[in-house]
Amino acid sequence: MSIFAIIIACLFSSNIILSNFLGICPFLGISKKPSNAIGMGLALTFVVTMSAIICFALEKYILVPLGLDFLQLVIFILVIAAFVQFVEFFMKKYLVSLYKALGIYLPLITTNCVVLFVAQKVAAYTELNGVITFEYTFINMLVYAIFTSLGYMLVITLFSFIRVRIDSNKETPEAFKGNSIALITTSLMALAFAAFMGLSL
Amino acid sequence: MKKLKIILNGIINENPTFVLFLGMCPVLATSSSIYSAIGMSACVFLVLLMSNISISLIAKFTPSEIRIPVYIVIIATIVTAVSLFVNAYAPGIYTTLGSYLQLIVVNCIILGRAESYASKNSVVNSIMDAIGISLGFFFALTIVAALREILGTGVITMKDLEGNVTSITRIIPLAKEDKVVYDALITEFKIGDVNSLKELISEYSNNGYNLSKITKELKVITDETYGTKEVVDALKLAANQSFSSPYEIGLLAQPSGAFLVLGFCVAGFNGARKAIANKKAAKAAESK
Repeated sequence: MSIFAIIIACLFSSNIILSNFLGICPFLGISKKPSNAIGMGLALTFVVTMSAIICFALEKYILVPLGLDFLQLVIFILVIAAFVQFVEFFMKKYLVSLYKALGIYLPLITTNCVVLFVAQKVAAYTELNGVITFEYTFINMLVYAIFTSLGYMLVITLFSFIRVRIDSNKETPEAFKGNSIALITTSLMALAFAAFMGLSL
Repeated sequence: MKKLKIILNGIINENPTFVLFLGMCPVLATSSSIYSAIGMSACVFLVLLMSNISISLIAKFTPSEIRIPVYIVIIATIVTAVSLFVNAYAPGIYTTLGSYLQLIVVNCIILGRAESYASKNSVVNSIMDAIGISLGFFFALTIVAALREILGTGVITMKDLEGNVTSITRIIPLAKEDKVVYDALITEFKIGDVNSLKELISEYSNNGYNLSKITKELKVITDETYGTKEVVDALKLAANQSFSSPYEIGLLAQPSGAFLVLGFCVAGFNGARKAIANKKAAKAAESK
């Protein structure tokens, strides 16, 4: 996999929201205001990248050598929850302005499926005759984690700009108001992003 | 009676997908076929039942500051057990669901019910709540999946636990001229003469039909296995993929179709729910 191919795939053709359907709950909940969407995207990028590095290292140097792979899920979710909590404490003390900007989005990230999905994906490996090969090298893993969350941020920010208009539209039928029309609009967005799937890299 | 009400509440008034908007990711991701929808709902039911039982049992002894990490570890353990179980006894479902099976851990339905219901109620009520919420999830997911599979592909494909195709039923009819070709091919499969079937396929291919999938399947088949049920099913699948009805909407099987169908289902469900509530209120006002 070339790095450029990973970047294009993460941002457009296999976008985490529009073609993998992950992180939909915060996507619907937080896209009501553009500033919130950007804050959520930034917080997510930070947490996804750091937890991917930690989980990748844990899987490669501790879980797989010790044969504890069946504990992967429990350990990853604990690492993510602990890491989010740690980031929150750290920011509260030393990065007050950033902490105020991100606000409530930080604790919400624990239950965002993007974080766990990326951690599990970068930790994937294949075993052939006792030789274990990891699918991602360190650099590829880092690029994948950063650009997957940037792809999330791209879609949620674009969608928040559209949503401001949708919510103030008085022509929307009563039954479609709220999340229903938001989902239908997302479908049009997914259609537009699907055009990138034809790219051969 | 009261227990029944808890179940009904989970299906209608607190439907996790259509009303609470919890756990939307699996609804979008595993709604491409009815088979995967049923598999996902069964897994969610198992996890939700066990997590509701264990959390309602331990809630009293858990200090409230650390309850969320405790719940998450319990849920992660249950999901690990369920995914190992599914991998062993239903490998077909395991491969269909892929990583979404493990992502049940971060499904907000499970943690949401643990926090808002199981930790405050008795074990029996929590079991009823788990049944109701999973039924509501099953109902929502299956509606979305059925709409997407039937309107998007025109057929319903059912598989067994191993992942082998057991039946393919065409719901949306083919165009008239395609139907003739399709029927001729299927009858020929059942009779079981390889050479005449090959002739038939090459004849139709020359007439401009795209039967490359069927030809590929035929190469795999030897004379011994020809005519058995599995082979006929495999060929039927290939035939169904080679033909497409002019009435089906291929877009719905795509990722963007998932958002579209779910959006319309949400609108329909909530519209109906509100209409019924309004009627009830009008009736109550009349009787007064």
